[in-house]
Amino acid sequence: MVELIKEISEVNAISGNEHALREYIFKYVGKKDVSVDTMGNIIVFKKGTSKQDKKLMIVTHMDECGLIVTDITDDGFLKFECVGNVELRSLISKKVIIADKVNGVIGMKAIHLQKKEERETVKKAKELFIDIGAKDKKEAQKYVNKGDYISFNTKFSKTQDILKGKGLDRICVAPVLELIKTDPEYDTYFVFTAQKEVGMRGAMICASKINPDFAVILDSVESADMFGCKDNDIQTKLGNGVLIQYADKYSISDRELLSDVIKIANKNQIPYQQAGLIRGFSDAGEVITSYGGVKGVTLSVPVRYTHTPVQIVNRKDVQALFDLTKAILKGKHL
Amino acid sequence: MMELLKKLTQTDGVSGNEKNISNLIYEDAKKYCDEIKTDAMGNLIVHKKGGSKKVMISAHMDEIGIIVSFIDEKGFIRFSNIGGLYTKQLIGRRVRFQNGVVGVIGCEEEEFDKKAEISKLYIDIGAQNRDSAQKLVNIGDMGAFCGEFYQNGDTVVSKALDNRVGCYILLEVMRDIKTDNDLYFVFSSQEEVGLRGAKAATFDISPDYAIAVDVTDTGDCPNAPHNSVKLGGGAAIKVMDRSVLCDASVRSLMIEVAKENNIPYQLEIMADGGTDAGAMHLSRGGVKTGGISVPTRHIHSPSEMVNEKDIKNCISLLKAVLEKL
Repeated sequence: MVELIKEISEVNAISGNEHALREYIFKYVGKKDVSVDTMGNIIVFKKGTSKQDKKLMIVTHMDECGLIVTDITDDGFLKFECVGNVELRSLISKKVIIADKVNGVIGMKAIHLQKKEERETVKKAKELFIDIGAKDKKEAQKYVNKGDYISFNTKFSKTQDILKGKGLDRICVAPVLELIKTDPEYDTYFVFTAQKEVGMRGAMICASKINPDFAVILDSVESADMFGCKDNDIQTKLGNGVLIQYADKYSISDRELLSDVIKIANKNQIPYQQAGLIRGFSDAGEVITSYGGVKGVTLSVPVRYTHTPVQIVNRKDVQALFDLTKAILKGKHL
Repeated sequence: MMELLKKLTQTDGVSGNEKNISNLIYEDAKKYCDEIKTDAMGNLIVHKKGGSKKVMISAHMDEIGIIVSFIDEKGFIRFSNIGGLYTKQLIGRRVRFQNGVVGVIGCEEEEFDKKAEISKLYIDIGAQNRDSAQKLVNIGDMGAFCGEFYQNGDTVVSKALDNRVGCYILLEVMRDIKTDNDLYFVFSSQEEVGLRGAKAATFDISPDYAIAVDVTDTGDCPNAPHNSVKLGGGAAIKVMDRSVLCDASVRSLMIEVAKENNIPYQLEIMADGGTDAGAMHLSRGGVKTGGISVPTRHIHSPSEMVNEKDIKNCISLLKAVLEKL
């Protein structure tokens, strides 16, 4: 699965521009029983092996946060805005790639040229710029257009169980691609959603179209296991297993489904962790309130430095999420 | 003394955990309807069959509370809010968990004085350490605030009058309403965390008209922000709140009906807070939506205060509106 995660991490798929990852997913799953809707969500249908008349939906988003070109200055620098909730403080001097072809670096004034106050404050996106080495506006315009998406240019790497790369917010695309190979107990819709990072927009339309009985939402979650995160806050920890979520910013997991999932995890000895209220959000907020309501639960992989160009996860957590979701797919307990 | 209202307020049902309150309402409502069901979000939908005009009446049955996020080595419980809480007012409050265990909210005094944040508060259940605490309470458990029911004359005080008073009104109206309209009484879930239950239910029912029954702020306390709604001033007819601008035709129908039947009413413009009306009016292609509210003091505290006459006026008004629609 690590190879799969590497490839997904290095495909650029910023919200609204998930085309490249969609192509990658098509190559992986083929075209049979696969559909794409107008928002660009991919829906893969697998017939259930049991005769029960229940529909299960597995949801994971395929988009990542990034930047978009808003203007080109007279001296050939690019101005940009964030797509999704990018951690601004992490941007300065990072390598980027514009429209998948032009290399650039997020620049700022040399430290020698900064006043004392400037050194101590955090820049806003408006004050930052991207340098592609163009000598003026005219030259820059040859390579870059307003509205081009800008991706972080981070190489994936692996050190034992620790995986590092960009776009690991949507790491669950990898386990879901593997999960599609299993024969589920129920009729199952595997959904790769678009535009989650800008407000669950893809999930909004696909859940009401499918109208499932149950939904399992797979996502990443902020890891809180470093100094500065006081011990009374969220307790997500890298390497402690899949996180079974009770509630996030926009959703509360179904209580019965939650206790079923915990039973399955215990029975199969899958490492898991629990947390009260997660500050971030997953597609669950739209999925569970769609149509006449959907019983849903969110499972997630802790990610350090989420929404930045360099993120870190533990392979074992992804494995635990895969094992738990597989046990749910194979079970008759829902 | 309103025994049913007392029972409704004293049964806990924090958002996402409405099973007990839903069961209580179910037992009463099943006697007065043709169809009753719970959907996947936990909404209790009570159907009284009628003609072609579909009207959805929604009162949320969830209440604010807390969710356990962490238990420290000494057995103190850290928590996050479910719904809008006034952090500064939480100290000393009692919290009841679903298994009946009661804890007290304490604070890290010096830190809380510097900055009143929920992370500086904890729940003390008197446990000696983490292990003994975890035998009673676990991460993800939800707790409701305690606040006993009290009535003196027309004055009623309790926790969770937001919005069990709305549930009470729906139950009272359902009992003996006579109309040709097709009525869906919805006891909605997860209103306090963002109108989530009503959003799902409205899509499913697809009504022609929707009415939200909820509580509303009053402006009659010392130095309160400007608001003309008064406790005891009559049923409040909603004009707007943060989530909705009510349909003008529904609003004028309500006023007309109130005048015809000599029901005291006042107009409600609530600057803060939303209601199920917000989710209902935006469903599918839009739904003509109005609201009837009970003037309430000290909303989201364990001692919310309403007036029995206002409740009765809301019941009469809702009944008359449903008959006239």
